[in-house]
Amino acid sequence: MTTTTTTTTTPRPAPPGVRWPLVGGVAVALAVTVWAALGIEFTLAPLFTDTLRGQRIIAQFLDPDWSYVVRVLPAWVETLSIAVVASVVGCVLALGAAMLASRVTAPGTVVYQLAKAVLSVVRSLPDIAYGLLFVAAVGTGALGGIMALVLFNLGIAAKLTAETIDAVDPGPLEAADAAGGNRVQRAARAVFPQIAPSYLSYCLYVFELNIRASVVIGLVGGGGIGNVISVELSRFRYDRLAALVVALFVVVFAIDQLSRAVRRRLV
Amino acid sequence: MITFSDVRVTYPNGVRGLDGVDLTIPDGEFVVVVGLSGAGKSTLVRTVNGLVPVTSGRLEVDGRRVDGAGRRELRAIRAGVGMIFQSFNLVKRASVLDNVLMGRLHDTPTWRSVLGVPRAADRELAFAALERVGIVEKAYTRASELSGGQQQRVAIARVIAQQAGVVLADEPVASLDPPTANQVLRDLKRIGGELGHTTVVNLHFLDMARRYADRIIGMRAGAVVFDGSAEQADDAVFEEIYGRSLTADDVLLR
Amino acid sequence: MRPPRPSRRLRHAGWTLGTLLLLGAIVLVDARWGRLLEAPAALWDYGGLMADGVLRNPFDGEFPEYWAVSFELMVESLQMAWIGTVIGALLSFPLGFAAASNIAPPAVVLGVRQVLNLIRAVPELIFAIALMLPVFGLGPLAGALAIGVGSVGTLGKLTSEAIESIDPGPVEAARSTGARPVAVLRWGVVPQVLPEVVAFWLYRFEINIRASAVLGVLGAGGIGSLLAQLFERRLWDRIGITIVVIVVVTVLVDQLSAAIRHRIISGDSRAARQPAESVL
Repeated sequence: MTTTTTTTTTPRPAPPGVRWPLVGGVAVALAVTVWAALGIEFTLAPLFTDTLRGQRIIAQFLDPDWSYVVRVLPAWVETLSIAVVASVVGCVLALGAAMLASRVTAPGTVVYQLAKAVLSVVRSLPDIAYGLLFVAAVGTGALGGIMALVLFNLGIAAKLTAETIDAVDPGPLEAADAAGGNRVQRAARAVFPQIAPSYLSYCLYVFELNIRASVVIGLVGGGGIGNVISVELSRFRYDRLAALVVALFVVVFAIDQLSRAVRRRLV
Repeated sequence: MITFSDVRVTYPNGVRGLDGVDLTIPDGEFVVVVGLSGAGKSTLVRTVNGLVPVTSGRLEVDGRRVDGAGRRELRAIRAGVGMIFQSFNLVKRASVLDNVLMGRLHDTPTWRSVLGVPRAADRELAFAALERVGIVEKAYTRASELSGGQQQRVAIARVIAQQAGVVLADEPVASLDPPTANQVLRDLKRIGGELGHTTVVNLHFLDMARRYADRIIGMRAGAVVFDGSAEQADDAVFEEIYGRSLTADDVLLR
Repeated sequence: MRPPRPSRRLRHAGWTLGTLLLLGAIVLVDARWGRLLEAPAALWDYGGLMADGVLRNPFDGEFPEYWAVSFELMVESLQMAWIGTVIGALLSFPLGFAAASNIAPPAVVLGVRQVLNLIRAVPELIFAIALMLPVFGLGPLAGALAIGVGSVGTLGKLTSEAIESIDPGPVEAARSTGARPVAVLRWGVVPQVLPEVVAFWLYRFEINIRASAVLGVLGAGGIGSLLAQLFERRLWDRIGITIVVIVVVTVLVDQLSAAIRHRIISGDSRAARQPAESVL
């Protein structure tokens, strides 16, 4: 306990050198920002100069045609239906894919690596690309939209579920092995009960996303309210668009709240 | 000098923290406050720099009124009162030096503190403070990499760098093992003597209170029930403060 | 005595409701399910055509041009996503403080949180149509702004949650030294949350890459616009090339971003926290 008396003899440490990873990281981030801003010709000027040009549009926007929301009721129903079907199918497939993409349940390292790679490719394509692809393959309409969303859901739900499986308590797994269960039995009896609440909550989350995504996919011909929006956009009917946008917001918000309430009870 | 005149504190939830405290602590004294948890030790210390607002009564630190002080006035008071905490309250991710420099914030222009470019004089003060507590070699280490005793010494250095006349310490050794606890208190006492600090320390352990205190204040239910020298505070006095007979838990080292 | 079997009525009700919902959806949606049978063949054919494009010698005839165009427009999408993320980060950082209950007064917290929730509930697409289109016209700039505004909701919420979970000790210590409020935030709060918050920004960038493709289809430029045109003209070889470019670039950027996120957080004693999926 003599440190206090030797204080004056301890030399001060030299300041650490420049922290290159940090400095370099910040410099790169700034450079990328400048480059990207030039690339997309970033400017806020239209905000001040072109608000006048937008006035006609804004005027229409502020006078929404509410009756139109109800007139396209079938399209709303279709959007919801697409979301329901795509979520169910996507999540069922995702459960199987997740079992293959987790170290805990995969039948071997090769399968595990392969499944992970496939899932990351599936996830790298945006929902809209799937929309375009399937609409081209099976024609415009709900079927293409459903198929696109199934893949979209598969990517997200499988990744989240696989991560949850990675983190399960290994105790019950050992017990299942000790009882002589095979791989599938182990997954069904020891793994699934542990992940079931999280898995269901991911499914609901995916369903929330699907309301939004099905609008996007509708834009490219995947059916539902997105189709309607796309048509009105090309007709410059901003009064109708405004009503649709508000209605869409209400629907998305309501579904989010509902799904959140259910998820809170699950976990 | 710190003066309490009939200071009362009632918390928003209705709990009475201090119940009419009258105290005068002259400059340069090393005061230890003892009592059971919930007796109001912590409240007493925290009223001095306004972390706990006074409900009624008069509280002065070096001639400035703490009760009813505005935000600016409170900052001025706090600049002259350093504080050491049970859980050290260091920014774990920041370097030791940056933590000590926090003691200079009251006297640093806002732009300097926001951009993180301290004055050379402030850096010098921070280094000198680290030398005084004997861990200057750790200046550029992350605070999270230090042991508990070292972290508390960084906190003491922060107070030294603040150049405050009054030092408050709220259970400064409760998270430390006995040898380290003794050393931290010894440092606190020695540095307080060297720099002429008025020091108010909350302690739970009686033997340490007796060993280091110039003066012991005993609290019970928000009121001062004992005020005297360390010699006067024998086991009978402690039993009165604690309202029960002493147990092995009440001392750190026999 | 053996206990009676606990009631499973709630579970049964849940299953029944779910099944009915699914059946209802299958019936209601005019999907022309018969075409499902034709889909594999069609996809196989188109897949073959796409593979043709990808596997053709990329230095032959028009093909270098095709690859270059896809790559350039993918880069434009990345730029759109990056600028959108930067805008989102800049706007959300102060809002995160205003929405943290341990920093701002309750009334402010409540108000800002509602705004963030509102933004979170609106898809980027709608920001693009409703806010950007009238003033900025369609283009990458409008896309970036829509992505930026759309990112504020989640980033603001995550930032405020990170701030709310800090160790209050250093804040108390900073306050007890008599520091001004700005200095207290800068020295007591920011060092504790910055790595996590920057990791959130990067995570959001990964998401925004996908969003920028969506806005592209709407006409905001970038890879989405190209993809929409190619599909309209059914140029399958070029579609194949474009999809390969999207997948490769996205996977690479994702990996890079994830590596940086881990590096940023690893200095931290807390485990590398990925934001809860529910808010993204």
